[in-house]
Amino acid sequence: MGARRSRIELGPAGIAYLAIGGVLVAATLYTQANLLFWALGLMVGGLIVSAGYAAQVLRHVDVRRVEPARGVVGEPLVLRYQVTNATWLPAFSVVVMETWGRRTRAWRREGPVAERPPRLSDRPRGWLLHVGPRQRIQAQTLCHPRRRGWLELERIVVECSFPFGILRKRVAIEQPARTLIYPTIHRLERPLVTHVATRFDAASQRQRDRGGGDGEFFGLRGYRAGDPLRLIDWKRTARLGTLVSRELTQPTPPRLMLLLDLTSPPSPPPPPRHPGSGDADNEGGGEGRGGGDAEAVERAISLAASVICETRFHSRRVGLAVHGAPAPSFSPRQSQAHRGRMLEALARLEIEQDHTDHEGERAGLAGAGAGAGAGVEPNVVVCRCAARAAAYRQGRVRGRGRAVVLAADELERHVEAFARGIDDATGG
Amino acid sequence: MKTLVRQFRRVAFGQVLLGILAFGVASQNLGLLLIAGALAALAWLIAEGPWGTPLPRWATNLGGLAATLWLAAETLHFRNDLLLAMSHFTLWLQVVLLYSRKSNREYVSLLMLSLLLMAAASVLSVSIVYGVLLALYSALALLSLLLFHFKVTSDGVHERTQAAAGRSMPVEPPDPVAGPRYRLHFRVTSLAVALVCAATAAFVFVLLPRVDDYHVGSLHENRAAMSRRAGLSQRVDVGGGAPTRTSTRPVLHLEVSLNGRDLAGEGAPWRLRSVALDRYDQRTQFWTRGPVREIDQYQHLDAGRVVLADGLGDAGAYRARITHRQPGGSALFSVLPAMEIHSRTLRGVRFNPHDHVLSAAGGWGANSYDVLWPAGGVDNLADHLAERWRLRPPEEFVQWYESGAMGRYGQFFFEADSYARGWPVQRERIARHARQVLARQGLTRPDDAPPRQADVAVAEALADHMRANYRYTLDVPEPLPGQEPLTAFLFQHRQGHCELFASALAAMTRSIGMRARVVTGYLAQDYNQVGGYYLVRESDAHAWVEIDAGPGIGWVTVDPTPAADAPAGGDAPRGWLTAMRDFYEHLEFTWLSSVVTFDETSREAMLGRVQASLSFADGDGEPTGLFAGSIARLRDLGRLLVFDGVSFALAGLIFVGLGLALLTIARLLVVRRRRLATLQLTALPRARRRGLARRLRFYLAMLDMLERHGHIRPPWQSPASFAHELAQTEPLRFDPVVALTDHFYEIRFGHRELNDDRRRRIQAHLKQLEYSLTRS
Repeated sequence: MGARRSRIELGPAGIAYLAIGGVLVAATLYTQANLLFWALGLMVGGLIVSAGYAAQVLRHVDVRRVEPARGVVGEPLVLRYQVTNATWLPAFSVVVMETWGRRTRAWRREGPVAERPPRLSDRPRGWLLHVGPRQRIQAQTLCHPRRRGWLELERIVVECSFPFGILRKRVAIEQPARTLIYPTIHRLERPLVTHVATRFDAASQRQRDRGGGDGEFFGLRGYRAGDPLRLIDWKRTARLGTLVSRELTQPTPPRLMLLLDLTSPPSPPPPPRHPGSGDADNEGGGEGRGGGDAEAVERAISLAASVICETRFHSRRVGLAVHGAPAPSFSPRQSQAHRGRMLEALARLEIEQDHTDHEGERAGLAGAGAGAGAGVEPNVVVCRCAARAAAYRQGRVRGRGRAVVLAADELERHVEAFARGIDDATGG
Repeated sequence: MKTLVRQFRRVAFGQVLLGILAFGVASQNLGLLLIAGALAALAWLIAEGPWGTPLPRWATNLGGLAATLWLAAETLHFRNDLLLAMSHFTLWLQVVLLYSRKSNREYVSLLMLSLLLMAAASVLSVSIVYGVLLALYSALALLSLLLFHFKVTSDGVHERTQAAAGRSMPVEPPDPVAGPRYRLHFRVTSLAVALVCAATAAFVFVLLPRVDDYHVGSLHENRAAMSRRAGLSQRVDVGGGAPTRTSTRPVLHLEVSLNGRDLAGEGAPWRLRSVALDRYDQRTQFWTRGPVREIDQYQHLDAGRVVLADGLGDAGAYRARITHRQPGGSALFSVLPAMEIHSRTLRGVRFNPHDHVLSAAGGWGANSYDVLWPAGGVDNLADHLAERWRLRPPEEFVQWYESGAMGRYGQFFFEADSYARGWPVQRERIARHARQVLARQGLTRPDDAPPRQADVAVAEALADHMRANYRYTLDVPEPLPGQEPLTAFLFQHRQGHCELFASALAAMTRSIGMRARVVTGYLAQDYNQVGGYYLVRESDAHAWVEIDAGPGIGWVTVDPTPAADAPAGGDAPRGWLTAMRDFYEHLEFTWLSSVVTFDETSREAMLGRVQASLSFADGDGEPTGLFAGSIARLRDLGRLLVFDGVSFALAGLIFVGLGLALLTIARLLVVRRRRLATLQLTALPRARRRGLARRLRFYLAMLDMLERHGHIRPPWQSPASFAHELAQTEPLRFDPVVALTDHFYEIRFGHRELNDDRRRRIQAHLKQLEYSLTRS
């Protein structure tokens, strides 16, 4: 268990309680009504109970985070905890939350949400009605990641203001951990999936002529030990006098090689300024500048992740290559672990500020797609900007004329109106 | 969470309703109680219940505006007491809030207003009924606060999570995750909190010192006007019909002791003297106090004590402790000859050295004071008056005026020679009648003779004549038009009530030259065996006569009312109802004396007792304090158990225990009835019902389990429909419910036995259900 700090503070309800108590003190001393002395005593009793309870509760509470495997941007991420109350005192109405920074209030400045854009929209919070003495309870909090990458978890805070909310006991337990957040995964529209699948089917048909499967008839061969009896061609066997087995075709799933091109073409020279035009923001035109540029990159990554999940969902083999950012390449395969590795690579992509592909431009974009070094030609290309996509479609990029080209700014066009849950989308 | 919220709403509603009820009881305003209580109770059906719809925001705002206008009207137009007006305002605001749509903010307002209302009611009331309501309210408030804390915390977490998720992604409220034995832990913790709060309240109540200066004069007067006063009227209306004798409302308590020994009913009845009326107005037919009231003099209590007359003596002293049951009023009662007044609740005393009438000045709540007089009596109180009270010769007035003794200035208007003399109505006829009566007894009295000792025998002879020849009744015949009621009583009807008897004796004695006055007060004769005190009710109001027996003797009490017909009570047969009434009265008196009138004296006495009980031995090594007290109690246990306070205390405990047992049995019956209805067994014969209920216990366990997680089967829904509905929402999670419901139907309607195999399967389903509910 990590280092822990505890403190007791006066909550807003406590301030209200003290204010009411002050009024009651004044009324009691003014009227000397004996029943008001009782009421005042009850209020003092409430204060004493609060102080005593706050001093004792959560003294030996242990909270351990069950680290989540991964999260997805825009999808609820459940953080689970194991809360153990080792004291004799039952704890009621316990709030469990994550905080960052030196103090609990510093999380906005120092925690990950202080980055732009924030990784979380708020502190994850969970609520436990009751943890009995010497009991262990599972708690959970819900958070909504807003940015892919590593979500650094630093500290768990457990707080309890039972019974009257006057005093709040907080216990902060240092427990660093981190969770990878995948990019946003959308469900792609049906025409796009069909379009890609058609191309895949055309490509995969050629690969069906392989034996060893359990499809249609492929040919005959001599019997090998272990061949099932139902595959023995008895007529040929009788004619030839030796055992002959039928060999069936082995259907090969269609495969997709996805190229994520995060480069942008060099900016065209600025057009001549018209007299009287003072809108500096519109100068230079095009996309890929400042915050819009980062957003386009994220959209491209999100689109690539969505394509990967969608093709995986349709039982295709899929590979990935990234151009414009340091990332490993993946040859097409079909497995959940393979899909996970690709999404992880996308989540961990570190994007530099300037991705202008001067070299590629000079070489007639010949270098683009070099990431397909897995030896497979990309058949789907996801670009960060429309200009780059146009270059692919016009065949200016070598060997990419037959690929399906998607641009990040066309994301909305390809996304269905509803979103799927993370488990459905990722097959997990 | 829904269960918790539902429970909180019920408790909060009950708390507010109880607060309104308690305020109605405290303010003794039945109309307000009925109207506000009915409106508040109706809010459950209209706004809170399952089919209820809260009023729109504009309607509740309108209600709040109306309450504000009513507050302004009460304070500015009706000139009502500010405390009462504010209490009414908070009450109506609560009623309005009960009908509104309530978020946590509205609930906070509602609970705060309710607490303020109870604080105001605590100032107003001295009744034990209110005390019981206050205790109940405190328990409900504690539970309500605890549940509200759960709700607020849960709502806070939900709101923050929802805000983080955004509007497009609805987030369910957090489930109340609770460990095993949650209910037990919650009950024990709540009980511990309540006990600590109560103990602290007791400490604060005892340890906080009280002050003698109160700042509630105006409120005090208004409260007194609101409630009935403890004292009698300052006049007697002879022609106004019979006084109220039917009300058994307690007025005060009287405890009489001699040298510290409780007299326990000896010497009854005791006459508690209030006002001495010396002037009769022929036109209005009123007895009133004449100019003698101008020489009422004020004396601030010095160390809680006022000496009226010296000479309490070494022979011992009677002490009458009088505790008023109603707040307010200036009347004080005394048992002549009162020589000292001790009190902590009174700020000062007004005393008239001539007619010895006492009245209160200042003080708060239900007054409590001791009146002391010597055991051997005093021949003439006027001769023993303290220097402070003696009437001075006129030549000293100027000095007194200059010294600031303004009260003595009233002596200018008072003529001592004509005090309580003469009779204005048919004097000759009445005097002739009196002389005839005296002549039959062989007595005579010259008209011009000064007051003398023989006047006592004269007055007694006349009183004897009245007691023998006149009848006591409250149904006084109406006098003829223009006829004087006293004349009609004396010569025509010969029947009447105590005021007529007293007035007639005063008329006869005064018509033959004696000095006499009518005195009003109470006749204390109803001795409460449980508490050891006399309980004085409104029906014990009485009137009698005091005559002047001259120097050396002073004023002597003569009561002409027939004793057998006078307000009875002491000799009435004591049935169990009387004992119950005594017990209740004692409870109320205990509440009054130990809580409502708890003052600095009581506080010091209690602390002294605590200190003494904590000490172990005195300087000589003799056991004392707690040790000696325990030994003494053990030694006297046998005697105490025979009869006395302990037996009554035991009876009280048994009574309370029986009540609790009855409540528990009633609760068990209700729960059993509800369970039978749940198991659909109510229509079966009793023998079959019992066996089936035992076998179908697993179904109740399943329902309890589901209820803890917010899935409650409505009474109208069949078990199959309930299980089907749950399974439709989450088939995997509620699959055990379907299986258990099948078992239920097979056993209940299919006449299947609950054999070991079925029992094992049921246990497995229950475990599976518990697992799926807690792990989801």
